[in-house]
Amino acid sequence: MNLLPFVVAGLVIGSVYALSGVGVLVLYRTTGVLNFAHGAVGGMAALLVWQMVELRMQPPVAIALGVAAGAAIALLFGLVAGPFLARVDQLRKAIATLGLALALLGLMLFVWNDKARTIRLESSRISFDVAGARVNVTQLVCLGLALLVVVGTLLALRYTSTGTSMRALASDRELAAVVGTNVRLVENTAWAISGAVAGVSGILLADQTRLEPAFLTFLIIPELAAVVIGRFVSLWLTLVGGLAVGVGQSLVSAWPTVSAFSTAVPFVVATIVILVAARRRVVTVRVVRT
Amino acid sequence: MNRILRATAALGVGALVVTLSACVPESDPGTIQGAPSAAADDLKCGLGTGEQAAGEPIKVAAVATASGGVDFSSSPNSAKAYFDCVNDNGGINGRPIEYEFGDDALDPTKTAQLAAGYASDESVVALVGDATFVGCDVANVEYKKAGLYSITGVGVPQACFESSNIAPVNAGPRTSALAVLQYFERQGQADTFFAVGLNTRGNGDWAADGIEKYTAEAGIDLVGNVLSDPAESNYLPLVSQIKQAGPTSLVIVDPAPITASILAAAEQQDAKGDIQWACTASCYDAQFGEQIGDYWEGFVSNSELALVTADSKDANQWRAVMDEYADADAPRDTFSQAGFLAAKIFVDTLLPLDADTLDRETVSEAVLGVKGYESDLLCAPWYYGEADEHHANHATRTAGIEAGAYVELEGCQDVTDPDMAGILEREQSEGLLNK
Amino acid sequence: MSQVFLARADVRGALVGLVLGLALALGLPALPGVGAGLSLRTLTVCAIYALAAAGVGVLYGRLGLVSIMQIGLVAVGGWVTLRIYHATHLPFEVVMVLAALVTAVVGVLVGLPALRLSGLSLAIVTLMVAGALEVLVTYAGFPNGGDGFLGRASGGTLAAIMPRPALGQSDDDFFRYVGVAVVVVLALLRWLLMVRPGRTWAAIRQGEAGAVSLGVNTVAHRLFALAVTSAVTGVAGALLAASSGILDPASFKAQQSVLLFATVLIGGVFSLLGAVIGGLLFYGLPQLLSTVGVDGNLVFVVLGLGLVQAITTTQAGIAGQLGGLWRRLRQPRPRRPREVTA
Repeated sequence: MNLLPFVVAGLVIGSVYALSGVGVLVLYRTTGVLNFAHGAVGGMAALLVWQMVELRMQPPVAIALGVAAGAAIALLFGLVAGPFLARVDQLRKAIATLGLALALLGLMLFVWNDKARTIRLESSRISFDVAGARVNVTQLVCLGLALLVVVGTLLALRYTSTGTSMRALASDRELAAVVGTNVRLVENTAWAISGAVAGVSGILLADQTRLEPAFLTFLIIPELAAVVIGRFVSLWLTLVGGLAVGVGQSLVSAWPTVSAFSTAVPFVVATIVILVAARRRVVTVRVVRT
Repeated sequence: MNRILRATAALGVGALVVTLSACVPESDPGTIQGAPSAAADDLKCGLGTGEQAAGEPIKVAAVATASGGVDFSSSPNSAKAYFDCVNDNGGINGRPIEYEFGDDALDPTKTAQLAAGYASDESVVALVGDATFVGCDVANVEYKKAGLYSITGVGVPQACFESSNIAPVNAGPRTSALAVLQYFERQGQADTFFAVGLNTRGNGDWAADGIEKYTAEAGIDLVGNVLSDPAESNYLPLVSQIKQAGPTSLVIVDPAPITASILAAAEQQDAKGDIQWACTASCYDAQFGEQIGDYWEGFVSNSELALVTADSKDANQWRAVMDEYADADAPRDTFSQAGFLAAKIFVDTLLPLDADTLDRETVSEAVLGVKGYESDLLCAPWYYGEADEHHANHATRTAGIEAGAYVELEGCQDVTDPDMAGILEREQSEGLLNK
Repeated sequence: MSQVFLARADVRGALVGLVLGLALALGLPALPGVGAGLSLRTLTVCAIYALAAAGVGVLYGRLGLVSIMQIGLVAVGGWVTLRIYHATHLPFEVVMVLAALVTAVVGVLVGLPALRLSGLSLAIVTLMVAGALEVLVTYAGFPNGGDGFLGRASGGTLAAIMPRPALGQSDDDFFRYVGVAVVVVLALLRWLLMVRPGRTWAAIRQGEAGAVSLGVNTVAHRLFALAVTSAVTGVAGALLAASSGILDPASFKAQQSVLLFATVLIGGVFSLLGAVIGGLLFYGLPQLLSTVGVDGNLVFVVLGLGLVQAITTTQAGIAGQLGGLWRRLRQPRPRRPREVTA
């Protein structure tokens, strides 16, 4: 069997997982909130784009508005729940976003019925053959965008003032506040950026996979797997993780005997990484105990 | 923070302006393009007196899947529209029908619960226009205990067709898939055949089983019969399997959103080739052709009832009733026709009876006695009858996409299913096809 | 000794709960308006899900472990029940106990690698397990009298249905049956929380380092807690399977696990009353809303926002607030005269 089409498809989906993961990671490092609703925000953005295109809006305008809507939803949650969340531990912060995910999922299911929907980006119509695999421009955009966002985020964190504040918050929140960082402003920026990234990846995933609320909401699982592989710190490793999860999933699905379990790949990969990481931590505890 | 707030507000206002200025409503929602317009006679439902029924209400109910990811509520909604029309036209000899439906949220436990609820409410005389994706088996247990019968609008899993107290008006996925296969066979396009379905118990496997049995009997080379996971995200493997098998024709037995995703993946790989692509009635929906795009011109779909654009008495009445009594944005699809038809069968069955004696017992007896019911929405007469399986609708039509919309390719054709021998035999021996 | 034991406030509370629970379980079907059809069936399933909710609540409230996979474990319990029944036709009570044991083993096996984890990592892993279990359940389906290991009849053959237990044939009797089973299991759980293991769990929640320094084997205790809560969840699965005799993968989606977790947090994680409230919210609220004509999908919105609210402002949930109200009502007023005047 020619495996190249599977590798290509895996790389494409993986790069969007990674792209999405970067959004999760930036928010997590800045505010301490691990956003389980990231997939739901993306799903909402994608469905809004579909709705606007259906209402005869120009697709580019619709996409821009969809991304803006993603940013707005995340920002709104950050503005309303942020002050409360700042007071609770990381676990509770994450659980609160589960609530947001549920609410968005319910809203999407309520507004859009179960009829067939597709988002067909113009760039998906232009395609060409590469060694037996068919590649379209959207797929190239996915790969390029993931790379661009990783590099861009790294540069922004290093060279812009907001980026510096974000890094300050990530390393020590109290200290950052003491030295005069506007914590709320930085946090809200992180929410908006992560929402916009969720919107972009949601729209790309809807083009590449399925435009269905529950499906897009639970893509948070492979996206989180990418972040986990990045050890909640590294942008580059998140990119690698996303690609690995995507390619792994795609390759497993190429063999009929195991293809039914391809959706379980992110779970397996992430669990192994978490366990390996946890093992190291246990060692340090032992040192303390003896 | 103020900066961000202001930016958001500006963005919101901008979005609103662009949305308002960019929207050009193309057509009146709800009306079907290409369908004949309604005549005044179409709204003479039931007795057609034009007078409001004011007697003691007759309680009728339904169980339908409306939330949880699947929405079949168009069946009970159209049943309700028809009942409203009947109530405005003298009701059941003066008694209005009081109709309600429960949403099982795609949870069989809840289906059983709702079924038990209606079964224990003695004032509910029958169930009409049900449409559930799950749980016909558990519901039937409750109905059987209570002597309650259902004229179901849409049945999907096998159990809906093999129950003593449930009789669907539609044909179901298995019959629909076989209909597509046999259409291609008649067209000489089924030398090698490929079937795609969903790995769900009593549904996808049931349809796959039918295709396997029929191809074996008819000597068609079945080069693939694949069931995929409902949560699958990547249809590339499936597409490459199809590409490799290279069948002359193929049927997708999936819900419409999944079918659309599979088609998108196939388009991406430019895998259409010389294969005749088709799907079951689940994607016979006005929106579908436009969603999958012009690449799929000539795509074939089965239709379990008359096409939504058909010009015939009951089809016209269905459209008129929907326009008058249902929401403008309520779907005008096969399921809606099915609910309407179920309600019409029910009303036509009760009208000859004495309205004062109507209770569960008399209504059940009358419903069981329905046979040879003719409607231009159907291909063959519909019947109930006392039996452990009910599958009266096994003749369907075929449609194809032309310029983004479905047009009829072939009229009524009986569908052959190797497992239906018992039903066909009973039709003849009990004379179920004649009034 | 026993008198001292009985004098403890928590023991008295538990006994009051036990008596009230039994009274409700046995008396509710006789009440007019409740004793028929839909509402009774709904309450039956609510009671069953209260067990699953109790599993989540104990893990989170007593040990600080997040488990977003509980509905998956309910599915495991239901699967095992149907499998054992169709293979052996043993009485339901035996099948239920076996199912509880097997679910406990499965829960431990799944949780074993995650035992060293806590907090966020465990939440992520269990969410992923929920996703994986959904894949597995959809793939395997539920046994319905077919052949082979999966016991799944497919294709042309129809499903076989497991009969209800002999003591709970009618809806009324089945509610009493479920009610008594739920109360007994919850009572056992409550007892476990009051004696040594429960206190050790509390110590672990207070601070792992502290517990370790006291010589507590935290891993073993977490393992035990996981086994107990999984067994309780397995009982829920068994009762659910008995309720209609057949199960469908559509009832056990990952989003249901998230929803259950949300309702438990809204109900309150620090007491079993919270679990009962959680079960009511999880299964009763959607029914209630749908009877007043609210779209079923909006339940997600209500409970999702409720979860955010519970996390940010009311940690102890509804049960905690009820408890607070109760204490305030019993408190003699003169004790805080200033508050009254203010």
